[in-house]
Amino acid sequence: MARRLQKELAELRKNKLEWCDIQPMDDDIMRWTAMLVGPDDTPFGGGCFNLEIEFPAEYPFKAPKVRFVTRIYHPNVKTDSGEICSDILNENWGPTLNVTYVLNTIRQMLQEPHADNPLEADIARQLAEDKDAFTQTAKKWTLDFASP
Amino acid sequence: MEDDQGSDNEYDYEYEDDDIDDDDMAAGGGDSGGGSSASGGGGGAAGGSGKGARGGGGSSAAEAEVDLALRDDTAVAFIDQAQLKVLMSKVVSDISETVNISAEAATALLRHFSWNRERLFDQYYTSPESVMEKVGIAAGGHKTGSLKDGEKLECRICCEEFTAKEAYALACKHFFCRGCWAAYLGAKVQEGPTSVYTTCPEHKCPQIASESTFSEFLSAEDLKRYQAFSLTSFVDINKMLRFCPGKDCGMVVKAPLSYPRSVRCNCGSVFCFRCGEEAHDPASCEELAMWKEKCQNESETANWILANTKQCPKCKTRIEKNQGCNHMSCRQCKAEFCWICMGDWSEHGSSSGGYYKCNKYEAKEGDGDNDVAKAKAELDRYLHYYKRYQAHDSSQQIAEKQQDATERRMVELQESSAGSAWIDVQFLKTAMEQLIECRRVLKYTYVMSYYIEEKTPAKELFEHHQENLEKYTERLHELSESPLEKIERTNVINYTRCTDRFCKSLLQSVQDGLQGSV
Repeated sequence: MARRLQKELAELRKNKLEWCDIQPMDDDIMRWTAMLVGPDDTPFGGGCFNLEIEFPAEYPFKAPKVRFVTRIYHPNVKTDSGEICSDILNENWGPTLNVTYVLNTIRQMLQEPHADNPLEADIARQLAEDKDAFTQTAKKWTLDFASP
Repeated sequence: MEDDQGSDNEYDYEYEDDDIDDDDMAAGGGDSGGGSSASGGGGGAAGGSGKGARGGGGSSAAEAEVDLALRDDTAVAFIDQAQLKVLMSKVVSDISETVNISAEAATALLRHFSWNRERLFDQYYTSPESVMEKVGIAAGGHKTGSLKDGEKLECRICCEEFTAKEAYALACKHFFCRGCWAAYLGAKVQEGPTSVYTTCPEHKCPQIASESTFSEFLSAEDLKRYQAFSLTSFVDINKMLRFCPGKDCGMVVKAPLSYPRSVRCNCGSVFCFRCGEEAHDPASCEELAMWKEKCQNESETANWILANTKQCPKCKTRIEKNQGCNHMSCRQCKAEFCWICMGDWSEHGSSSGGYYKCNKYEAKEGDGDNDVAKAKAELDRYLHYYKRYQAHDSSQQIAEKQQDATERRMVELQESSAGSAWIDVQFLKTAMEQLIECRRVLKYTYVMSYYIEEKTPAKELFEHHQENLEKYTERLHELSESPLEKIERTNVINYTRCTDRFCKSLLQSVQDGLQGSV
């Protein structure tokens, strides 16, 4: 399926997402890095978040593994490992989905963090109970870890 | 054609078939009862089942046999893999005829409703369209879609172009190339039993991929796996069926409506139909579940008690128990003691006039005033029961392992005594089987006993039965393990009978609610 990945990469290079830059890692088509710009009207705005995307041999029949390399304060991202909680990266993955779809989902996740089924229970609770405090901490993390 | 609507029983699987098979069945079937005359295929030419959904399946003879066994709601029926297939396709074709949908759609529908026909009918007839949509079976059932000749498309999975000849889609008409279909379905089978719920590769398309799709693309080996998953799911989510938990057994048990707590399979395993654990009479499923949870929680504490060796109470030599009997004799100092309480054995045997006290928990006097002491007393109480539970369990396991050895002993015994026949040495085997059963029952008496309130007449009566059974079981174990030249046939036979009687009266007494007194 290397051909499909080549095609996805070519497509992403041709029609660049203005908020995201994609590169294969060390010429290995099975491992990519992505640099995602935090959406403006969110506490992640102005931050540059590095992601690592790893494709299993069975791709696209199995979901790619995606994780945040840059630390981020978010209820759906595991703080220490960068692991992402998203149904499409797990049970709801399907072979017609692609990297663009995954990146869009992640961007949407930054715009609307979900307090349900969180990976970080404490952050989710804070988001639900004291949104200002959440925003403040998330902003600080963006400044501390995700600013060039 | 008779109608069974009157029955409100949700596990009812009577078929309203006015099939020709019925006649065959009356002639063929013969005995069925609990027996499991397996062998499946038989010789019958594929005569009947013209309306059978799935082409394959079994012969009408096997079908008749399954039918007969399943019609009887009072007996346990054992079903082998071949018969299971027949049964499943029968249930499916029944629904597909009644609802008038394809067999594959019926399969998906049944699976969705856990093979519960009443629920299926109930919801389906309330709103057929919405049920069909939810289950992922588009109207008209599964049909392979087709493209116009010469039309070319890019496969949205592999990004290669493909022609009509290489195209495949389910009824939803989401076309992909055949190569991707094969890879997709192969990956699903690798994921395991959930593959029976595989839907169209299109994101969020609910259309179910059925067996015919799998059989079109999978290798023979993968297809077999899929079919096995399909059968497994038929049993797993079906309340009236259960796999025999015996190692490598694979038999399926159909329960009678009483849901018996003790089912014996031909493979030798004895299990509870309700919870699937080893048969645990006299304890209830709930008590067993509570007990297992408790044991898990307490395992750390109990571990040290459980250490496999104990010191001889006299000479302190470490002793490992290598036989089932609790009557220990130390090789070093010849001391005889009881493995459970470590007390002198002479206080145990009935011959010595001693009282067999090993099954009783006596709370130590004087404590129980403060919480710490209470907790300690509670732990002691638990350990008391746990130790005995564990001891009988390991005796049971050792006895089970010795079954082969028993066979050898029987041969030896027959050869050594002139003029004796194989039937004359059967008593050893019978004794061993009796022992295993008694050990199992005894094991679970300690589970039940733990949950019976102390110092009540019920408990007293229960312990009385338990004590008798334990006494005779120990004696029987000892007798049947004695060296061949010393074995007393009549004695063993008598004790086998006695233990059987004690075992039955214990279970009966529990069934009667532990009324009456000692």
